[in-house]
Amino acid sequence: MLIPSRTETGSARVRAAKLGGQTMDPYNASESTPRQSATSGLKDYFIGATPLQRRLESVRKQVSVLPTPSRRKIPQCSQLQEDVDPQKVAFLLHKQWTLYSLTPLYKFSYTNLKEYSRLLSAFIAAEKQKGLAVEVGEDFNIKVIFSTLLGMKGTQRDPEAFLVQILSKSQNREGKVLWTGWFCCIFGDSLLETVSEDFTCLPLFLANGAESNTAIIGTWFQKTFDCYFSPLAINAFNLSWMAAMWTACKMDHYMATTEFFWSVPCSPQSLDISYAIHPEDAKALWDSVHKTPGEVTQEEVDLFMDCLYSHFHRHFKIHLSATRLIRVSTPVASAHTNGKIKILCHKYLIGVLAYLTELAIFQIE
Amino acid sequence: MSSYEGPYLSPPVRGGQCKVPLGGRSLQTAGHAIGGFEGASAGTAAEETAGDMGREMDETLAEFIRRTILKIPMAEMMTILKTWGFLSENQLRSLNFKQRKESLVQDLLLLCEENRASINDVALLDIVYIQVHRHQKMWDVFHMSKGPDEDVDIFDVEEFKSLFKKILHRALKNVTVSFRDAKENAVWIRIAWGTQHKKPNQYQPTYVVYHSQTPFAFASSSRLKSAKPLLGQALTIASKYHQIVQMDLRSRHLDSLKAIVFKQFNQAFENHNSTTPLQEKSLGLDINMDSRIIHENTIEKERVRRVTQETFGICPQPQLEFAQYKLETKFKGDLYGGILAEREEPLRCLIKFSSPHLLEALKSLAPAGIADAPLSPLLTCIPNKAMNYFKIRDK
Repeated sequence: MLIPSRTETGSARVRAAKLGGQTMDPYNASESTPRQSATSGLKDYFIGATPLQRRLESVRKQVSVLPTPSRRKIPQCSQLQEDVDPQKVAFLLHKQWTLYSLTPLYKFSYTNLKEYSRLLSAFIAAEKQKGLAVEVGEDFNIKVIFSTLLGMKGTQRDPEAFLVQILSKSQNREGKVLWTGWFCCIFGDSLLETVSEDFTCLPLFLANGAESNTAIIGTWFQKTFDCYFSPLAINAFNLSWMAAMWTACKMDHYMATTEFFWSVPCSPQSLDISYAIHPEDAKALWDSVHKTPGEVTQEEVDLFMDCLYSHFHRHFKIHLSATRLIRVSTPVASAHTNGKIKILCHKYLIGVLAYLTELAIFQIE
Repeated sequence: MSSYEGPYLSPPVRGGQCKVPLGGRSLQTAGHAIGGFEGASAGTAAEETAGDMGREMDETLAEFIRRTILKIPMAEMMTILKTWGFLSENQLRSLNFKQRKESLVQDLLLLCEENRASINDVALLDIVYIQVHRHQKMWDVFHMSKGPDEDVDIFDVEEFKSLFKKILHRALKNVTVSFRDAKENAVWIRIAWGTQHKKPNQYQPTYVVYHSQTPFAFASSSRLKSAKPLLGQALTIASKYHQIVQMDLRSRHLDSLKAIVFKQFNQAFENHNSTTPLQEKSLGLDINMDSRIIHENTIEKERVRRVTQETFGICPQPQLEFAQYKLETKFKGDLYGGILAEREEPLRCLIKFSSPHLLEALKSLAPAGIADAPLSPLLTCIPNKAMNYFKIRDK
C-alpha cells in the first residue's frame, strides 16, 4: 500500500513554531473533526475494510503530520560511540531530561570555556541576589563548570558536545551537582550546511534540575550568544516512531518493559490507559512487521502501532487511535509528549539523540 | 489472592477463586451507603495490649494522642471529639478553638490525662477519624463462605469480638484490637500490630469493616505481609465461617465497594418508558452537514445511547479508580497478512485504566465515538463481577 506524501502541513507546523516559541501540537488541532466519523462508516476499519477505506483512514491519520522522512535508519552502535567512555556518560543515563531546541550560537568558542564558567557564575550570583531565584534556603556558594563531552556526535562534522553543571560549593572538595545541562548535535548535517562559520550548531539542549536554574542559564546563553531556546514537545506521531525504532533495537536482555500511555479526551472524568507489553513480545511483533533490513519505514511504524491498537480493540472495543498518545517507554529509552526523556541504554545513546536532534532541527527551521 | 481452610495457623493456600455466597446470612436490604459520621453507640471496651499499662500517662501514649489529634483538621475537631464521646460536655466547652492547633493539642492532652485515657480510648478516636476520612485508605475486599453442609449460626456481636481478639492475642503477644459499632450491623475494627517482643506500632494499623449480616469484610491495605493471613484467620473463625478469599477488587471508595458487593448497584435494564433522555455531553463539534448525514448520525447516536444505557443502567456508577487486566492472549493478525501467524506464544500485556471515576469515564466512551457500543464485557462486568483485577487467557 502506497503511503501518500504529506508535504502540505509542514508549513503549518513551522508557522506554529515561530509563534513565541510555543510548539503547537498539530496532532491535537485536527483531532475534533475526524473523530465524529469514527462511529459510522470508518469504524469498520478494523473489521475487513476495503483498501480504499484503509487508505483514506491512513490519510486521515496523517493529515496532521510533519514532512519528515518516510524511512530512517535503525539506531546502531556508531563507530564514534566506541570513543565514548561508558563511565563518563553513565551520568546521562537513567535521568530525566527536559528537551529544548536551540538556534545556532553566535561566536561561541570551545577555547573560552573557563571564561564562560566565570561569567555564568557571576551572572547566576547576581540574579540570585536580585531575588529572582525561587529556591528557598539555597546559599549563593555555587560554582559553574563548562566541559566538553567527547565522542557525543554522529559524524566528524558535528560540533563537539559540551556540558554545563552547577555545583554547590561546600566544605568538602566534591560539591553536589544541582543542575546539569548539555548541548549536542548528532547527525546535524542539514543544519550545519545552512549556517556560516561564526555559528556553532548544537540544536539539542537537555536539562536536568530546577526549572529556575534552567531559566537563568537560558537567559545568559540567549544574551551572550544571540540564540533562542524553545521547549521541544514531542507529538504522538514522533512518539510512535520512537516506540517502533527503539523496539527495533537489538538487546541482549531486557531491563525494562515496553509501555505506552494514552490520555482519553472524555468528559467529565479523565481516563488514562497504560498498555505494557513484554519487551520480547514487542520485539517479536516488530520482527514480524519489519521488512526492510537496517531501516524503519513509515509503513512499518503504522503497521506496528495498528497491530497494538487492534489487539487492544479486540479485547476492549476501544479505539486507541482516537485517543492521545502521551508517553512511550521501551528498554532503550522513554519519552513523554511534554518533552521529557530518559535514556536507559548506553548502547543506543547516539541513536536516540540522533532522532531528537532531528526533531530539534525541525523545530528551529 | 489467598484462600484459607480449616482451623488455626494452617499455611495460606494461594490461587483460590472468588466463591459464590451460599446465602447463609440473609442480605439485608441495605439502604444508602454509610457516609459521614457514625452516630451509633460508642465503642466497646477492648483488651489493652498484653503488657504493662501504668496509671500515669507514659510518653508513648502521650505521643500517640498528640499525633492522632494533630491529624484532625481544625474544622472537624469539635464534631470528631463529640462523636468520640470520651471528653465530657464541660471539658469540650472549656476548649479554646481560636488558639493555634499545637496549643489546642496540649490542652486536649491534659484533659485526656485527667480522664486517664488508655491506648484503647485513643484507638477509638483514631477509628472515628478514619470513618470520616475513609478515602485515605485503599480498601481490599474479602469474601467468606461456609462449607456446603454447615448451618447458619445466629450472629452474636460480643462473641465475635471476643473470639477475634483471642485469636490475635494467641498468635501475637503484642497487639491492640479496638472495636466500634456502626450502622447497618457493621463493626469497625482497628488492629495495631506488634510481635512477640515488640510493642504494637500504633502508626500503621489495619482497619477492618465487617458487616455481620453479609459474608463480606473490607480491610485497609497493609504493608505488613504477616498481617493478612492472621487477619483472615481471625475473621473467619470469629464469624464462624469456613473459608475466606480475597476478591480481585480494590478501591479507596469504601461505599462504592459496598454498593458493588452488596448488589445495591442496579444494572438491570430500566423500564425504557422513561422519556428523560441521557444528558447529551457537549463535544464542542459543529455539525454543519448534509441533512441525510445528520439523520444517519442521529440514528447511530440514538443506538449508542440506548445500548450504553442498557449496559450501564441509569443509576450513578460506583466509584472506582482503576481496573487492571493481565492479558495472555494470542495476536489475531488476520487483517494484517499473517503477522505473528506462526507464533504459538501469546502476547503478554498488562493494561491499566485509571480515572478519578472509572465507570463514569468508561460509560462516556461510546457516546464520544472513542469506543464501540456495546463496550467490551471485560469492562462492563466490573460492578457485576465485583472485580477490578483480571487475568485473561485464550480459551
